[in-house]
Amino acid sequence: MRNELGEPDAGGRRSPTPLPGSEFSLNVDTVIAAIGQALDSSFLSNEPKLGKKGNRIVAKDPDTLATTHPGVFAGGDAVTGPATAVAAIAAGKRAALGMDLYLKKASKPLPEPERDTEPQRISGPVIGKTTKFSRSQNTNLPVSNRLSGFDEVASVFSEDLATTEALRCLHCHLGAKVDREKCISCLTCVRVCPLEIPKANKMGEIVIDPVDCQACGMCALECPVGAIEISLHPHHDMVHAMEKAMSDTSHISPRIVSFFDLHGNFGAKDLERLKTHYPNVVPLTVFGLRRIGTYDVLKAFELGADAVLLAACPHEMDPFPETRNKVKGRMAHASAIMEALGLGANRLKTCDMPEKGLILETFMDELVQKIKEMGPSPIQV
Amino acid sequence: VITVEQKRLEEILEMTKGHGRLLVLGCETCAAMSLSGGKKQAEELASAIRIARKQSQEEGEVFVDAVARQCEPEFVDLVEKEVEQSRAVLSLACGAGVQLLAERFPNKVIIPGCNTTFLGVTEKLGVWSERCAGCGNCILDKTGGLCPIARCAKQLLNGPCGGSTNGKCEISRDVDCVWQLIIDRLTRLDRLEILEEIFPVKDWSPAGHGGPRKMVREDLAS
Repeated sequence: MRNELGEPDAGGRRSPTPLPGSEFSLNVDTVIAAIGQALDSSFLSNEPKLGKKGNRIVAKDPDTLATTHPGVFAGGDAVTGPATAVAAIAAGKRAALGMDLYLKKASKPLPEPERDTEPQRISGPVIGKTTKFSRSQNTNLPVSNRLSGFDEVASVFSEDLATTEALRCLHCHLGAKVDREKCISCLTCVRVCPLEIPKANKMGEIVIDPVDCQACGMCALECPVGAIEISLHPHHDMVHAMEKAMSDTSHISPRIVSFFDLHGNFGAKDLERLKTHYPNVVPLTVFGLRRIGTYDVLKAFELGADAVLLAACPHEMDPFPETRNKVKGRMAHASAIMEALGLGANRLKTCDMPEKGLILETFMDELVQKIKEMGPSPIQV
Repeated sequence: VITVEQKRLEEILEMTKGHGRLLVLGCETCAAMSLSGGKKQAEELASAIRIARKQSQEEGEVFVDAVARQCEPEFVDLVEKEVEQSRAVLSLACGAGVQLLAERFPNKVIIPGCNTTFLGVTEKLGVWSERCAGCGNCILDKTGGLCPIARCAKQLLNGPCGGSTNGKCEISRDVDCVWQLIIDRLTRLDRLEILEEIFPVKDWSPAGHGGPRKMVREDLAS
């Protein structure tokens, strides 16, 4: 429907008014509604008993959200003015509890709002031992630049910023789960957890708090009997991804299976570029190199790799910096086994990722060259 | 815990060479707790053996299984089918588990993947130390809860010897003299007079010097 400017209002401003009979069709795939939204408060004028302030309803009791009209409760934008959907849903939940009390004629106090208690459920070591990441800032164009062009004033996150922002998220309920049938109470998880989350009772039963556990994966990797599963990036998914990547690249030689820590500052485009520029590299992303053990390194060689590269995220971007030493220890162990197997420890490389991007090209050039000179892995695939 | 330590890979490869289809069998109690013989370690070792075999073009599948304890016949019998399907079994259990396998499967080659080390405690993740020698006649009441049989290099009963210097044993500066620890502890408990009683010559027969030991609970075994 087309609009035209109507008569000027009291302030002299003309607003668009629909042109009757001007409806037309557009052939599109997606429609994004970008209309202004405001409360339609017209119904309030028929409710004289309802306490109002301007065109908003007054919730007399902030806990139960009761209004001045007995039996009527109010929440959401009608009370607060424009706010988030989450806040409106929370108000709905509180109003429901308030109604329950009202109908039962009870005066039992409502539980404290969850926003006050939830953050305190995270235990001290989690707060103290994980790296703090500040909220990413989206850039606003300086006023001088806004005047001289048509560039976007408030930009959205670039891909790498958006990824970094998403990685700030705590991983409550995505972490370690113990299979009681398999657990042998060896306490390895209790001892290896950088955040002191697993707790054992006198009978050896292990409890891992689902809110506290941040899915770092150390316990799952070290558990000698495979009794721990992580919901976030489970190990078998990584192994499947490796198997698929190796079967997709079977025509390429040599191949360097490369594990890139997702906490590095890179995006999907960097990975695509790497694949194009370095066909010999088989990239796999992992939720921290702490998820990689000797088994995974050997598995890569079994699948036909000629070398394995582990690229660690920059130190300051590692959410669990304490685990970095353990990664070094494991790789030393894997190197020793590779040496004993006659593969040569120099087919296992580790490096640090640059501040921005996936990997330094000079490093990659040199590595590919070196592996080519070494020749194929002595394993006959 | 009974601690076991995986043998060197070179030794394992030598022992398993030429045996064809191989079952790597984990033992998921003491050996797993020693982080040497759980299913996880069995998978890792199997992968290494496969890589070695690929290089030498040796035939024979390498596969993995595990039981709760290889020292219990009921558990061992649960993998009978897997054992029968293999030419040899590489056991990651302690010596007891390896021997029970050999006993239950008289026609199978059974290979030990671990060395049984000692009865000990976990100091911290990845560090274990010896505390008990299983001598069959506990004297910890007389030595302040510290065992000279397991922890004195000479197994002295009336120590310390002249090799004790600044609380350390002459064999290594890293090893505490257990007799120094015993005296320190009994002093702290104000029970030093216990040591005035001289230990007689020890009867080592309960320690196995009188032949293999056997324990029978008549009420249960009958």
